[in-house]
Amino acid sequence: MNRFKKVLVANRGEIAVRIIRCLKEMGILSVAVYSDADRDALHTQLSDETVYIGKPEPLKSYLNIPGIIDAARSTQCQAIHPGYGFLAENPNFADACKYANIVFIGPSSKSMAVMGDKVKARRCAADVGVPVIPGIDFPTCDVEEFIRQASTIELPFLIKAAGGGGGKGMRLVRDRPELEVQAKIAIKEAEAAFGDGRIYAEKYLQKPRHIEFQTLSDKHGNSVHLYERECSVQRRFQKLLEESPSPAISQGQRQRMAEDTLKIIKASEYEGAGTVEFLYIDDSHYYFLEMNTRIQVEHPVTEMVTGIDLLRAQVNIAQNEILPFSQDDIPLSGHAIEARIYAEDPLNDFAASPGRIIHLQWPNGPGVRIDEGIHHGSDVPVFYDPILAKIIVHGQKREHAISRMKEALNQTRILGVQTTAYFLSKLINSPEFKEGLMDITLLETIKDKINIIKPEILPIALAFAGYMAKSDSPDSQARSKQVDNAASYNPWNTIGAWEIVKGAK
Amino acid sequence: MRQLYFKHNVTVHDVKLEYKDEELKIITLDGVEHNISFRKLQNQEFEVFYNKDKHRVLVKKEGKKHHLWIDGESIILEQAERSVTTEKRASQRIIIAPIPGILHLKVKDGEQVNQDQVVAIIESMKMQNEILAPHAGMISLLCQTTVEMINAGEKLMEIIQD
Repeated sequence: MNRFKKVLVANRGEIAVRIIRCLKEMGILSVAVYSDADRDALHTQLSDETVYIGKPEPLKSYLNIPGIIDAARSTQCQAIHPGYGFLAENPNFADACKYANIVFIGPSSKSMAVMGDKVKARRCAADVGVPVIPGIDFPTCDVEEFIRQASTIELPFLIKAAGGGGGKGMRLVRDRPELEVQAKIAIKEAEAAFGDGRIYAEKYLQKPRHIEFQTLSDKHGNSVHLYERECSVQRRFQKLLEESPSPAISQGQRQRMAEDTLKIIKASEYEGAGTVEFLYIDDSHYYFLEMNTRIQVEHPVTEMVTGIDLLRAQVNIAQNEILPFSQDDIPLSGHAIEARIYAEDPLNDFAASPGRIIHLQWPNGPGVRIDEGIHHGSDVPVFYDPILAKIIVHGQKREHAISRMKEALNQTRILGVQTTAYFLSKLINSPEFKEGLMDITLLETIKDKINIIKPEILPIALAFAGYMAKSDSPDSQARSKQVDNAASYNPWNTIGAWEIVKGAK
Repeated sequence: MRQLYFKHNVTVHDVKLEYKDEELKIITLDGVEHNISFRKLQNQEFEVFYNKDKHRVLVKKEGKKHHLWIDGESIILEQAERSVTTEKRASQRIIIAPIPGILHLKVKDGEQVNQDQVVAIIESMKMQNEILAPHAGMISLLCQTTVEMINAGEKLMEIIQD
């Protein structure tokens, strides 16, 4: 097969930037797509060409399959990279690419369809002898049928939707009497979210760790794993900190889980980059959770410890190349950690914080990598995922990586939107994280302890705001023309105004 | 001497600045004097001495909003015009959008609602943020029902108590 000359990147934000930079390195031209909300976005400024694909709402732009296929056709792209999210795990999109004679950089629609269905993926894992979470795997949308099946599972258990994830249709059942009500709600939620009301049930695991294995498979039957990532620091089923290797598992355990991972990869005839996720309790209790059939947000930690560029590998596999390394060639060197910088306000229950970036300064230094999707002056729109950037560090040992990350986060200055940067700096410095004692409930447990504004912050802030407001006085405006009109409006320059307010109690 | 008000979250603080020969001498915050001094560094940053400890501060102004980065923590202060009491009274009756996003109204003009009933959902960055009624009463809409996008701080509705 010929090498790609031009590739369309069907995504936005940091992953689109990452893909475009990789394509540049490989000497491949890139085409960025953008919605009305992303006219000045960083990814549109770095690509060789750009194509406008519609209104800001994802359904009218980044999720619009015909629109994206047309964009690739009109720019003569040989392939499309879907990134993560949006269309990355949509078998219909992979098929649409095939019909348009465009290479989809990812697995076949067939293995995507199998591994994307939670229940089919469970069965696939169980069939090759990989432990799955005890449960029932004949999904149904009939409440009575479900209750009959559920009588065999130990309490507490989780009701889950067969059609999709993200917490939708997920209900925790602690007592038998509440089963019927919870099942009804779950079916309704699943129907509303996925148009598929089928539910199944899995035992509820107390305080598991989230450990996942990265894999690469070419189209010639070769598969390798690239060790694990631990992603136990999460909130609302969304990861915040990831690292490789996991501080929890032994070399022997790593070997066993890696073998299980490759069994699933072989059984699903998987091609490309893929991740097999496990919930881990201890060395004798770990369970297959699900498979992600795409590049993942946290892929850089694996790149840092193995030295392998996963994006480049994805493109090469799609170009039909043979994997240039075997399992024994893949090193696991040092320790890497990733912190996700979200436009969210940790002090306000992680509420979304869209807006305009009015100041931006990234950290720098040995072993520090930034995968960013924003620039100074960027608008962070309300329509998309809140991820702004990722900071990734590498150190010889875990403790080095931790201190390096803490310093990197403290060097980061983002103003205009609230971000997770400082929260993560405090979290990474907590005794629990430092000792590697985490599970997926850690963030919830320690967030109130971390989320305390130091008493000196407010006085300093007020003093500075007062000082800055003072520089708006008429004399200083005369001296400096840089102050804009909006900023220069100061009601306190008009004498006496505050006395009226004072009287109006 | 100059007096200013700044809002942080829902609380309004008062700041008094006393100058002598163009130089800031005394800062009084909410009636308490603080000993703060600073010197300007490069990159619009300041080195601040407060209670003998050294801090790093970055300030950016955008309209009435002051965005501050202090030793890693970032906070937003908004210059306020009204006294504390007026702010509080207004916020109890009028529901304002806490964050920008796509507005989905869940009530109609004139509708009777109960306390904690969901009156609107603001969809922002793939998250659904429910807005609850702080008390029971009758809805009087203060926003266009056709408008989809709203900004933080925009008035959504008033709940008139019986």
